[in-house]
Amino acid sequence: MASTVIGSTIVIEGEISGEDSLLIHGTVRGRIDLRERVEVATDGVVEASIVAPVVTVYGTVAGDITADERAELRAECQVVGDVRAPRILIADGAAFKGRVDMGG
Amino acid sequence: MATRQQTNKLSGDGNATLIGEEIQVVGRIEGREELKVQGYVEGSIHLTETLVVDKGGVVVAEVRALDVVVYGIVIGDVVADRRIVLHAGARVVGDLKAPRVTIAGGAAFRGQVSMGTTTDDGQHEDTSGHRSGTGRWRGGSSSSRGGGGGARGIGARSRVSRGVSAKPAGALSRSSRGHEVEEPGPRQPPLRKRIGREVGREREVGREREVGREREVGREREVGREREVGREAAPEQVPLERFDSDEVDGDLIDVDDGMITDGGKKKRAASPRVPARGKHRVDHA
Repeated sequence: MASTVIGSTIVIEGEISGEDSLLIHGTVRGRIDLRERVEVATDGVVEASIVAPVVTVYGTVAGDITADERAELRAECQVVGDVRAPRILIADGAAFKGRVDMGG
Repeated sequence: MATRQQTNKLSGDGNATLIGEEIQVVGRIEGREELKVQGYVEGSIHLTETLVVDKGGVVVAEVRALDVVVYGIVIGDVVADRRIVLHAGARVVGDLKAPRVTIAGGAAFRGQVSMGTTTDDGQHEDTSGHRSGTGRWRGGSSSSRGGGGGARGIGARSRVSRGVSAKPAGALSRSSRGHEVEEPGPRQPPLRKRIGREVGREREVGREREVGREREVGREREVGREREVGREAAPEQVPLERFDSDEVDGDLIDVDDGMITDGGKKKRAASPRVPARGKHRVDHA
């Protein structure tokens, strides 16, 4: 369902912004600021702060995650950074280090 | 930023990487797979595969890829190792550099087209590092000119294909190859060790000037001339070889000491403009 796909051999350094959903198989460094869901696939590496309504992580994220609706850290993911979301899911097997802030 | 690393994963996607319509990317994109841009990309794109800029795609970047196929808008120099294709409806402002270039009827294009292979420049810089460090030929293609052209590809042409990969967005900065010294200022005659006779020298000084100018400015007619003298390694050197065939020992200019030596022929060549014999030291390292 992601309309933008960043393939696994792609490295993006910079800022990604927009209104589309994003599926990351490659590497992104910088900032991600989207109005649609962001999904970091298993082979995705994101060294960036992510701001999106829904953030789903299967891969590696080193950076803060700010989700307006929901953040999901699935199994086998590795996340280092703060997570700010009203709803959060950390699956069994996820590796996570950081703070969790559920708003309020 | 941390050093760029390219992941070694194979692309499982049959789908090329796609940057959707509503997405803006500002920064550097590198990859070893095909990329399709339907959104907005600013910065630089460096691929080893095909880049497709779709109808709604806007790329304000320096592009380097294997093939570049444009249906949309590209502002910036485009360097392809194989082919550049501008389809009808494409709008490109910037220089194109590829062995094969196709511009369809209906495409809007402004810039220069250079049909040598990119390896020429790359190779030239690499193998003739010490030489080009003198900035003799490259005197024109210097940061002084690069500084003048803030807009990529619009105006200053000096950086057509140099250091494309490492360009930060929006700056025609010095190439990452340190030895490619950009010396601003007037073109100096090359320190050619092996110079022919006076006649040869005249021809070659003239040729060098033309080639140097072409380096600087890259006008099409000089591109044509460059093509005519053959684009094997270092175009600037080729005329020297051709016209001073008996003097050249196959290796291009050899300025290991920066001085005008070897029989003083070079001295004569330099004399019109430059005092001979070590009056000017070339920092070619």
